[in-house]
Order: sequence, then structure tokens, then C-alpha cells
Amino acid sequence: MKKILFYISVLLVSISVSSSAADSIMVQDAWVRSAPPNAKALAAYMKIINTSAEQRALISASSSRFGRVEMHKSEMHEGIMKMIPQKQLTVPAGGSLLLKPMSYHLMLMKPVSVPREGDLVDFDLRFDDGTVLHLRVPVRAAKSGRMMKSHD
Amino acid sequence: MDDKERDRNMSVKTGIRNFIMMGVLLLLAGFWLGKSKNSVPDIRELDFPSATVYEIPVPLPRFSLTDDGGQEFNEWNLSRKWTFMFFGYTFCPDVCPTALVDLNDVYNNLLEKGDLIEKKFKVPTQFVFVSVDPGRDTPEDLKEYMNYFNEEFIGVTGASGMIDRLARPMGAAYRRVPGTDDEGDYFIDHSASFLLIDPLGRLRASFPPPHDPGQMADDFRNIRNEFTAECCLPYQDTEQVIFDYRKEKK
Repeated sequence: MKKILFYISVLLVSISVSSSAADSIMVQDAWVRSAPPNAKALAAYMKIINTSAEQRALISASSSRFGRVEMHKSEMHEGIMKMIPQKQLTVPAGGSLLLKPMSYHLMLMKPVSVPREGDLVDFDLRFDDGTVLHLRVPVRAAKSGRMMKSHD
Repeated sequence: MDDKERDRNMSVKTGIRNFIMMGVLLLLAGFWLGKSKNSVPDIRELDFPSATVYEIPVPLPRFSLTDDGGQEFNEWNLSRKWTFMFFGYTFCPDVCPTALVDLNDVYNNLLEKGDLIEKKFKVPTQFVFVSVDPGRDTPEDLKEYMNYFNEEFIGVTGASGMIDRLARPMGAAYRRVPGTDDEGDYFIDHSASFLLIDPLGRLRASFPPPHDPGQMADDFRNIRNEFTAECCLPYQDTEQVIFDYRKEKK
């Protein structure tokens, strides 16, 4: 049942993306990492694809489920993991940017209520050319570390 | 090209070949000499690909924290157990959940092979998450947070002075940095290594990220096989553990 829900939600994501995408910028494989019911911050990951001939930048993101959404990058500095706030996330012309665990991510703060696995979370992603993508992103558990690392 | 020139070329080639052969032989001889002189290579690196193992374990100071059930958690909670420890905080959306999922994979790897308790000396393994954010993470918060990942995991926190005391000798640095809004929110940069504490309460190894849980579990088994006897043999009848505090400064 969970699996079916997941596939439906994947389908929903792709539908809402294709209907709103201003053809040059797309989002694939978006997911919100499911978190404990008392989590104070969550993370969303996705692949942002830019098919245009110009560089694009994600300049802000918001969601009705969270009071605040920020762009961050987790980065290792001298053995210490830092979360570095990003003013924007640049997607190269004809290229893509991968938001993934231990790297770029959307940090979702001040949850109205913490979404549960299988829920869909709405997002508005605003880009520097005025494009706004409306997404409905499924919440799911992270795969085991091994599997995610092989996706690099 | 006449015959003479060809001969000269041949002899030059033979010369080069001989020269290379000599070089290879000398190199081999060098390796052999080096090997025999230094017959204990750095096996730690070879044996434990996911871990840095301390040949001389690092003694930890006495400390007193509070676990997620509200009970005191101190150095005695480390005795006669192998402990995986991670320093983090629940406000952390990316690094800490990733680490806890990895730790849960290590746990499951051990569980599936009936390996959570070391068989010879019956030494169990525990998983401890130390919150470096006592201002925001209460023991109750920690309990709910840890249960989500694994009900067996223990959340621990306490006075920041005590956390420092435990973290510093393990090299588990952390630093508070202001958030991006004006509401006094903050992030905490922190070490993302898993620390392995031996049954005498000493830091024995650390596992730096990125973590490969399968490899970590294998390395842990090997480390445990090598060192559990050293830690537990003299005490196995009495259940008594004597901590090594000689290096602790009063």
C-alpha cells in the first residue's frame, strides 16, 4: 500500500511539474526526508534541470507547510560539518543541480505540522528569470546510506 | 638504414633494456629490504577501511549527562559495552538524520547477523546520540527524536560544560553559528564522525564521513575481535571495570 501511495505521489509530482514548468526549467525526483514528529527542521532534495542556453538560479523557495524555507549546503571543513546558507542555487545552462543528502538541500523550518511519510508537501520555487515552479513533493524515508552514495 | 646503424640501434636498445632491468631489480631489492626492515606495516589502515583506529586508546574524563529517560548518563554507562557515539542536534535537517540512518544500518547489519552482543565476553553494543544543543533539545525531545530512528538508540544531553568535557578529548568539535533570520535562531557546526568507545570507556576508533554502514559494521567486528579481550578479560568474573583516569587533570 505504501508503495502504491509512493508511486501515485511520484506521478503527482511529475504532473504538477510538467503543467507548470516554463519548459526550460524542470524538477525531477523531488522528495522531503521524513522526520520525527517533533522535528524542528526538515530537508527537501531534488534534481533541478535547466534545458535553456542560459544559466538559471533558484532565488527562493516557500511552502505552506513551513514558516521558512532556506537554501543550504552541508560541507565538510577540517572534519567539521557546516551548513552554509546559500543566497541562490545556480543551475548551469543545459545542465542540472542535484540537491541531495550531505550536500545542497532546501532546509524546511518552522513546520506548521511535521508531514508524515506519504504526505505531499507543496513548494513554490522562484527562479531568477521569473519562472515559478509549483511542486507537490512526496515525503519519504531516506534510503539506506549505501544506496544513496552509489547515486553520486 | 645500413647494417652498422641497425647494430648500433640494437645495442642502444639492449643497453636501455639492461638499464631498465637493473632498475627493476634494484627497486625490488629495495622493496624487499624495506619490507624486512619494517616488518610491521601500518596494518590499521589496511584492516579497517572505514575507521581510524587509535593504537593507544584515548581515556575519557568522568562526566555526568542526562539520558532521554531523564536518568543520569555518566562514564559507568560506557563500561562493559561497545559504544557508537555521535554528536549532533535535532534542529539539524540534513547531516544528523543522514548519520542516524547510517547508524541504524550499522545496527541492523549487526542485528541481522546476531552480532549486537559480542559472543565471547557477552559485551553488548549501544548507540548514543549526544545533543550539543541543550538549549533546544530537552531529554523528552530527544526521546521522541531517537525513537523515530531506532528505539534502542539513546539520546543524551546536559550542561554545555559537561558536553565539552566529553567531546573535547574525542576531538568532537562543535561551534554555534547564528542563523539567517532575526529571531535568534542558530545552527551548530559539528563533527560528523562516529566515535567508537571501548568497554573500558576509552575512545578506540572514529569513523569519518561519508559513512558506508556495511563496511563500518565489518570493521567494527574486526576491531571488537581484536580488542574486547584486552578490555574485558581481567574483569569478566567480577563485572568490575577499572577506568583509566591517569591522564585526567584535576
